[in-house]
Amino acid sequence: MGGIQWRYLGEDAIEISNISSSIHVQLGLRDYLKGFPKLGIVSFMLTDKTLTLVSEKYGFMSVSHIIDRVAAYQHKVDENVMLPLSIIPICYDEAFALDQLKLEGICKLDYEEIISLHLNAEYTVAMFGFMPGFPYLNGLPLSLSIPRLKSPRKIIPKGSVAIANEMCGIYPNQTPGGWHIIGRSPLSLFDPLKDDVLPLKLGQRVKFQRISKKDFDGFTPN
Amino acid sequence: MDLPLIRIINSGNLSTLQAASRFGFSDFGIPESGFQDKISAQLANWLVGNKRFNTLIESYANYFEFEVINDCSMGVQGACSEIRINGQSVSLDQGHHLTVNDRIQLFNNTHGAILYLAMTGGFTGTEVLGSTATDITNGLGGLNGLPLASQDILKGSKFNTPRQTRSIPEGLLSRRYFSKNVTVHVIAGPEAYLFTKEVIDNFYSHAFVLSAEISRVGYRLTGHPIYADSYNIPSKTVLPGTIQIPPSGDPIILMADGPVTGGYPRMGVVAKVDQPILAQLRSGGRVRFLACLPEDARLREANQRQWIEELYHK
Repeated sequence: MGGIQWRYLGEDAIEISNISSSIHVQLGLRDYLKGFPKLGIVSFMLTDKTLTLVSEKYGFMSVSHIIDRVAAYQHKVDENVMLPLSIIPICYDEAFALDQLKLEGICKLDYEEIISLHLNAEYTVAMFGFMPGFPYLNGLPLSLSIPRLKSPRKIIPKGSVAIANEMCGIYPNQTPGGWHIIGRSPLSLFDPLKDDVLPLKLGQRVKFQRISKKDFDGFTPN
Repeated sequence: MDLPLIRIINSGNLSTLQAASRFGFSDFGIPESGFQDKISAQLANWLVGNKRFNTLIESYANYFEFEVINDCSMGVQGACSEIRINGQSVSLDQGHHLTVNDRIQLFNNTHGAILYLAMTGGFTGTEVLGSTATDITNGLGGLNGLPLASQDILKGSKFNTPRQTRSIPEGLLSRRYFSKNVTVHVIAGPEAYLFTKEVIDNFYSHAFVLSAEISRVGYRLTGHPIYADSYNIPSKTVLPGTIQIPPSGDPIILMADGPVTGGYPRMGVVAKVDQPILAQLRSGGRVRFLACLPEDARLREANQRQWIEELYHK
């Protein structure tokens, strides 16, 4: 089984760890494995350099077959069609930036500096998790990389944009949660009744665009 | 066309419509949902001639009451100690034909937590991403994504003509695995390496108490805190049955509506075959963990599936 590292997650799933940190390589490997239906894999989940594979019904009769395929995968650059850059409107008004004071304190920056760091970065959708449609965005500047809140907030409003641990995320619905809230987006990120359930896609590049409170209030999703 | 079948008079605690899980959307961040005790649920559906995953009611109620709006047939399994139809006690382990205006009361003083109530043809629920299972955390499926409440009217297929009533064979009753003290098998998790051998030995040799914090998202255990060497790990995939160890030391076992990723060390995963036993434990009950290999867990699950399939194909 070569140098591939893997572990069980329950009897029906394995996790292959330390695959590339590039989401494009991760997606390439996932799509490559999808090309072998006989492996019996029914669910593919990407999280931080890790690919979790859930097997069909009676379990993994063929872990070694899967590992062999993983070992055989060779990523060809530019194999993936680049998705268009997604622009996400964000309002940093103090009514929305619930953790403004904390962020200023921890990062030792004033809020306009924090905003400009956040706005200038380009992000990549690395995974969805925590709740339906919650995108984990890679690319947060290191100077904004801070630990989670010590105790989670009971209610985080829908659309809140938040940061923690080198990641930026957007809460698609109201929920409890533990990330620092930097602003709010009026965009709808999860609608199970639409054909396009998630407007953002894995691997897609994302930039934030600042809008005023007035624009936020008048925002109509198209 | 659907017909209104019943009106709920007392919905009890945490009652939802459940069905086949919303499987295959974990990469969108969407939980599986579905039956927490697959055995009891499938037995309830079998009692009324349904398919295994027809939409039914799952409830943590100690008391559930409804009245019948249109004739239908009912099958109850799981945590129920008495069924009364218009005040008369009837058998627990067979299907019952109900007629308009009947009043049905379900009581639970068993050691189990969850009852299942199926109607011939199944209840009607909102289908979201291929499943009618309710996920109340995210407002998906079921009856508008909400838990069932008193006065709710549940619809069902108008083709719910009663078929022959069935009785569950004695050895297969779901009540047989309800207990105040349960043992469940656990497959070592990906972060087991973050715990010292001593801590792991402790984990597998002490009983934990199920706290009052139970929901379809997770069950929190208490009474025997477990500590990892480090908690500094990125969020990784979690599945129903995953045992997470947060810094407080009180393990959280994720259930059917659990999130798809979690950032706490994953000590292990409860074997699928034993997940119904765990789901049925009541607050205050005790659970012990027994280490097992994935192959053994798979074999036992295959046996469990086999007897259910045989029952359905008889």
